Amino acid sequence: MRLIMVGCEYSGVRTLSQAILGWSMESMGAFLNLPEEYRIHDHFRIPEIGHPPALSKEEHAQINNLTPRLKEMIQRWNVFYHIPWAPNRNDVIFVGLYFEDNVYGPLYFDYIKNLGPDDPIMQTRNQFDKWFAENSPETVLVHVKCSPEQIRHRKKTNPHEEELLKDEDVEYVLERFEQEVGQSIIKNKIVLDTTNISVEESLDEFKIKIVPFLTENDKNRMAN
Amino acid sequence: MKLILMGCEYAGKRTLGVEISKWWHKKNNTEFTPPPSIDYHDHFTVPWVVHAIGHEHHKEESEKKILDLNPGLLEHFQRYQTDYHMQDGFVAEGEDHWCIDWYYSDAVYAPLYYGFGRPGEYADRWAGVHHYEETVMNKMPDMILVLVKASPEKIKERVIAGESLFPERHEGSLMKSEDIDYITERFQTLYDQSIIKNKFEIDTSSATVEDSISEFISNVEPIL
Repeated sequence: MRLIMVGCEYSGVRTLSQAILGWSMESMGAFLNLPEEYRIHDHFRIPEIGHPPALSKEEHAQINNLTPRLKEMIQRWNVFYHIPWAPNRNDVIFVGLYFEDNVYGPLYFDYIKNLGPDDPIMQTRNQFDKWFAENSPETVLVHVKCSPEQIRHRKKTNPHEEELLKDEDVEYVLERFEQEVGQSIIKNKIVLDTTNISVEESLDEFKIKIVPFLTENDKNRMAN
Repeated sequence: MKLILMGCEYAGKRTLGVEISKWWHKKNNTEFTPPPSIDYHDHFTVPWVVHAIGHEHHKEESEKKILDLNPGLLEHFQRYQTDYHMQDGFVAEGEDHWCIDWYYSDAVYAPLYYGFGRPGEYADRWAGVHHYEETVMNKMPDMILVLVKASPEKIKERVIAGESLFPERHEGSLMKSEDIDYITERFQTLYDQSIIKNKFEIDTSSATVEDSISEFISNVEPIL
């Protein structure tokens, strides 16, 4: 099972990725051959650019203090490093990946703003989606959505320690994720709307929607 | 032509590199752009981690900020950029791909000065060279490796005299004078054990730049 899970902060993308990981381990024995810290790759949003254990606050400050160009470079290389080149790949859940960087980079980190498609940086970045779609066609892109009202409610009642999303940007960020997912040439796509829905209900919805995209290996593992 | 120039700081890599560019452009009837523009990826040695051209607006600041990263984060940065320059866009057949030091830089300098990549620890950079060389031989079997070297005494002389056509390149250098013997020995060992088939050495200790480019051309012509 290979998933890319994307969505606006507070949509529940990270909570759901954990729930899906647990279900796939239980139902098909997925991910069991991998060390715990490499089952979910959730390190594509500055300043958290590393696998667990989480970077320290001091390390976050060091990342945040880099120039925009260094941030852009490390993010571009970070994604590139995770492009699937070889066959027989492991189970993986990517969170955010280039989708998140395309949304938040220009908005909050002052990079890849106003760069045309001919810019060398964008020439590479614009191939990320193609490389994933072509090299790993079994990948499923999961777009986790939520209403602006619910995002704001969650943001207010349970704010993240290092929150990125600004209140005034909620609609814009939701729209940008919509655009990024819409433009993606990854064929297998699932949308989960978590507005007023529990994690368990979202997981149930995922279990139904993933069925057409399960690989033969996934089905065999579930049967066994 | 695929080319890596490797060697200790002050051995004369960039000086020779510019002469190689002149020769290559003349040979291929293409336009030579003089320094500060260079045809090489020469951004693998900390703190000089950004390209020479097109980055003037942030180069100075970025080269300071990169030193604020702790060893773990710097290891990420260096690993990602090393890997990134193996991509097909750079290494495809018919494309020139010229690097100075590349992964050899970390193998020598990381354990000494960066606080990561020491023998036996995570991301051992010396051990990693073999993996990178296998990738190079697989993707670029026509790669040419040139060890640009000078005697430790000559290197020390140049350091003290500040003898370089590219003094800005040495500003902020982490190399310590007392390590020069060790560093030159390390590069020599890397060269000697390299599995890259097309390789030769150029000793600039007492040679003029003209001598060195002539030596390069006479060595490289038969293996182009």
